[in-house]
Amino acid sequence: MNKWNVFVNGIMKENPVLVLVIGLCPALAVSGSANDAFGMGIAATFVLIASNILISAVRKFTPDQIRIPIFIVIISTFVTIVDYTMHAADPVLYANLGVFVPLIVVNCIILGRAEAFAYRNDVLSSILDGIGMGIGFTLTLTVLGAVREIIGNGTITLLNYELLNLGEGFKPALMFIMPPGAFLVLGFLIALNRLLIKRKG
Amino acid sequence: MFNIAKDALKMGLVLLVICVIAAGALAQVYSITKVIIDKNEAEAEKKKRRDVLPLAARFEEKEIDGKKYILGYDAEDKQVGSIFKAAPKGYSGPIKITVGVAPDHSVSAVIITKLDQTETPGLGTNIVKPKFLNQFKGKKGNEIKLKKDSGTIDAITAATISSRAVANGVKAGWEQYINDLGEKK
Repeated sequence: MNKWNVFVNGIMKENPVLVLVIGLCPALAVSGSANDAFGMGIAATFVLIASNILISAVRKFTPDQIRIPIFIVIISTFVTIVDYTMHAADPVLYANLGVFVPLIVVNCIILGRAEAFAYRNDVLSSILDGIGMGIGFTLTLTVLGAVREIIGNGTITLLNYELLNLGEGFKPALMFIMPPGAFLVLGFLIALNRLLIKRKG
Repeated sequence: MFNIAKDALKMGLVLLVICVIAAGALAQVYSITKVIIDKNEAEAEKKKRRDVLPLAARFEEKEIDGKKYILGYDAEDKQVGSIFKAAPKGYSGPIKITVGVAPDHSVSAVIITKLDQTETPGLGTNIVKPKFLNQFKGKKGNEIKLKKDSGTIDAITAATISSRAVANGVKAGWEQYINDLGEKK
């Protein structure tokens, strides 16, 4: 597999949320607004890239029997760094994401990529894999968040700026920012992704 | 036998080294971010006091029977109001409310920031909006209740529990305040 394929794999063909269907817990829980979803995507992407680099770098010294504990130590270290940094840099986002920041530790995408990719490949490929998967995850969450927010609340916010506001006259369908809305929109996104992949051949 | 012991030792060592490096890195990040987090929190608290009592130039803390009050004075040392806090149970977790009281003992301002509550996004979180909170201005006693409970406060659509928690929390805190500080003036 060449480097370019490694990179683009995670965005559509092996999109973690839409195709592999892992990492669903944060994808469903914090995608009530585009802003929160994007924040979660970036946080998870940082952890994914950083842990991929480190796990790939130490893979030659890692005894096979204890690789999982080592993965967990590395991943949880980066998650805690993200936790502290986000608390300092953006307290509002930190409060909105709540328990889902520490829960990045158990995000299947990160441990999954460590075991399936970074542990078996060189550092450069692992970085590309991390970036690709991260973009796929962030993009999916942000689109999911934007669709739910516009239908359920009449706004789209990103990076704490309000990009779009349908105004007071718009009667939002509240269901979309509640849990059932997440499942509904995710279903449509999975179908859309399948369609796009099929069209491309 | 020798090999098993050697393997176990190697595994322990590798794990030890990785854990030590991780712990060191975390301690470093913690000491840097802790300063910023504390500063942010202190500033948010200061801003809330200023927003609730804009006329006050300095604040003084006072404790009565274990309940904390913050008294605000203007530049001429005249009291311009007091602040009390309440934390009633909302729909999901406590809602931290900062309430300002004018010298005539009516409520002068109620502030809840996004960080003070964990209500349902898009529904209960609307309690942080001025449209809801401004209703408390100038109210006293039984006026501080939802219209549904024969008071004067309009509840937020589809968020009655959160609205009621705020109204009742402000009312309970206000009654305590009258009890503690009311008669003396």
